[in-house]
Amino acid sequence: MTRRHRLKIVVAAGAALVLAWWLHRGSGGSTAAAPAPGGAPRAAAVTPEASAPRRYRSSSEVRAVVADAKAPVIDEVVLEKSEVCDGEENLVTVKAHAPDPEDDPFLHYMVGGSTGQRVIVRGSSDPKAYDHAQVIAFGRNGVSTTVPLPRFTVKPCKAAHELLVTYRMLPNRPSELELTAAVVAHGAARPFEPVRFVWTFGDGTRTETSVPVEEHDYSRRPQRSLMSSFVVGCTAYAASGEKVEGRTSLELTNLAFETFAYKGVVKLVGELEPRFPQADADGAVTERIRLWHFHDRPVQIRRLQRTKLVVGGRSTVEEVSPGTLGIGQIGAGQTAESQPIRIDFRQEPDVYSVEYYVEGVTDDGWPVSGNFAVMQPPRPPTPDHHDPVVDPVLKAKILRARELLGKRYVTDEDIWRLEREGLMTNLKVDPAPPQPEAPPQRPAAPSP
Amino acid sequence: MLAAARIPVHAETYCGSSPASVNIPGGAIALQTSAGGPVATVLKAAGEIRTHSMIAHGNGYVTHSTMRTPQQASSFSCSAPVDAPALQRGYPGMEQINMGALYAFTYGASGPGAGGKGTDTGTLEFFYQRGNGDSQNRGQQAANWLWNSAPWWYIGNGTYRIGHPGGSGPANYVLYQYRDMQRINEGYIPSWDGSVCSTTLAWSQYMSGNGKVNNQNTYPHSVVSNALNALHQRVYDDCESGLGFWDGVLADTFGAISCARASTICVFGVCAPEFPSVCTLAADQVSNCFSTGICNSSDYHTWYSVRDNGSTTATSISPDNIGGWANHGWGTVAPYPVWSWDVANDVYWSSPGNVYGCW
Repeated sequence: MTRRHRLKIVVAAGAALVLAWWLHRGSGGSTAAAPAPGGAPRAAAVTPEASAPRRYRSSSEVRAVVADAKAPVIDEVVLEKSEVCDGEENLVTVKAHAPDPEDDPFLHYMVGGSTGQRVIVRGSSDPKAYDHAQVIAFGRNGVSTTVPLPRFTVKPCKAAHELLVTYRMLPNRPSELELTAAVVAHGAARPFEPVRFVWTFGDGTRTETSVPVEEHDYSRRPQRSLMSSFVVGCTAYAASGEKVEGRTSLELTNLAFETFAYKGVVKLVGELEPRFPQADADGAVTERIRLWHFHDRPVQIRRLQRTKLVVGGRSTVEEVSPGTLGIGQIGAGQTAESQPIRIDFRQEPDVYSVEYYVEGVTDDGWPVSGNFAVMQPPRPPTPDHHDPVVDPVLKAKILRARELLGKRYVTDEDIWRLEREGLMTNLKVDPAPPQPEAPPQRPAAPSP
Repeated sequence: MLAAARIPVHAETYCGSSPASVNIPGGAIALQTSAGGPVATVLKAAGEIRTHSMIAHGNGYVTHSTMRTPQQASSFSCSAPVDAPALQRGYPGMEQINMGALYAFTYGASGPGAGGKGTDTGTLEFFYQRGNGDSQNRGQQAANWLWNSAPWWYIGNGTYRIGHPGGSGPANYVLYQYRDMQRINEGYIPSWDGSVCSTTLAWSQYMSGNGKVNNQNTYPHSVVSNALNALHQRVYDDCESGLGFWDGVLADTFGAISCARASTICVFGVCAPEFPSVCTLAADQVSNCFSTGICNSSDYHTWYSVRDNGSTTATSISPDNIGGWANHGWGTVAPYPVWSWDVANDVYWSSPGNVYGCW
């Protein structure tokens, strides 16, 4: 037997083993974190050679989509306080259950005009303020039960200061938020000037800052239900020890739960390092990807496909070896970090992103999907290549940010951060009216 | 700690930018979930999760439909304290924005690409779904139809408004679309040249020859009732607190004004007067606009007549429907949205917003 024949036999045997594994992989039991979209047959065979489309099941095969969903039962609506001052916070907590216990993880809530199981409402001296306030409990597929919001007394008093807590999502991280606290005065005789801020995030952690801005990462929260509900708090302290407290409700969608329940796919969650691409001296970008999941069985990585995105051009799709990642398996509750992935954008200057689609299968037979992107950083603006800044206020902010940060180039986030820290006041705005903007050439659309 | 100033600023009179880019492929849709704003409230009160949607063209632009926050009426009126024309025909409506504008819309305080403050606040989730489920790249066909066949108007800041072919001008963001999308998913031109984000995408699917989205589009009366009550509460709360959609302008400017009207407490046809706050009137006006398309009145009987009539329903297409989430189900071709087959793919950016320099 020649070496070539031996190789053919080995390849054929390997293919047969893979085929046998694919055919039998659905026989194991599932104890998935999310309820199996189950009762339904296991995932249809995912053929490694198949192109990306149609690798998932039909929606008519997923129980969570098609089975009769019954409205939940609201057991109790609990008010933190029976009486508050005008503008004072009151925490409303909803307790409910689904007629079918399997549907309990789908429960989510709305109180007044805000979502969450624990929601902050504020006292109002307007007697009509709560005329239309309701508590809604939603079950699977959005079926709902509604009760009126219990009444509470609003006394004729008002705090001199209020602390409003707001939040926003941050880019390139799955669930990292920036929280901001702002003191609002209500006819106070003297200003409240905070010097430190103590934050509680509703997940058992707390921090302290000297500025009214903090970041918090919720990406590792358990995803055993459709929604996670948190009450985020901040206490601002003045130098005298005087304090003002504020809270807000935060509700995050658990996409891993939802993807499994409604689409029958285990989602891989990713986090790039570094967070934004940085070109080295050779113009290449190197990234690592950290991947994890919320399934309770290990995940095997089987396939890696990459798409090169070109502005206005046709994207190219290619299969690459899953070994490129250096991740064969990701255990339950574990995080795997890839090998460095290096893209030399000098070789392909028109490519602005290389998109990686990761596919696999769980030990109990569910398809797995995730993605990440290695991107070309923007080329800094030059006199020859740039989009003109015609807004004189934006121009003044750019100049201020460059001065304060000592950087030749600044970003939107740099400017916004300085704004929040109060460093964008008294700008020197060019009094000359902005130059009329010439319409840019409308770019072409790529062909399908 | 801030670094010492090292960059000469006074001699530099010209600034420019390079746009951030995002990894959403051409023909894919992207969905967002926001915590605040009246549109998000209506959708969430219907049991839905996503609150905004858009489609990527693959040429550095996305198309979406959105509106700036309407301001108070130029002269106060108890019968319509909010700027009625701005509420009726939300600006800019359907627009095509570049990635820098999308970054600001998503993460910043900015609203639509044409400037102003948006109606969605507190974005908490952002992902994309591809439109090539049957290898025909139908999503790109829909995107290309919007780019090549819809009439467009350049409005500055790299932004284009677009409209319905045969319409009377650029398309507006019409809140009533959430109650009745007026067959936009079959190519009809709705009243006031209207659309909202997700009905725009259903329209693009139909107009590109990829069929009508007909995928759990009707919502029962209980949803209509819940949505209107929640919307009223949200507008009232935001107005009172000076946050969000209404920005406190109404309460700050007109908070001391008292309006009288007949209440619902009536004896022998004579109704006792009530004195609603300006925030109640604003909430009534917005609720009227959502429920009936009548945006120039704060007469609460209008939206009560929809909320309290058990036969009223809503027919619309939500972002969750476009993405194939919950009971909407999914497929690769009509009657499903052509993007609904895909799972949620993570969105990545090439930089933290646009990069600016001066010379």
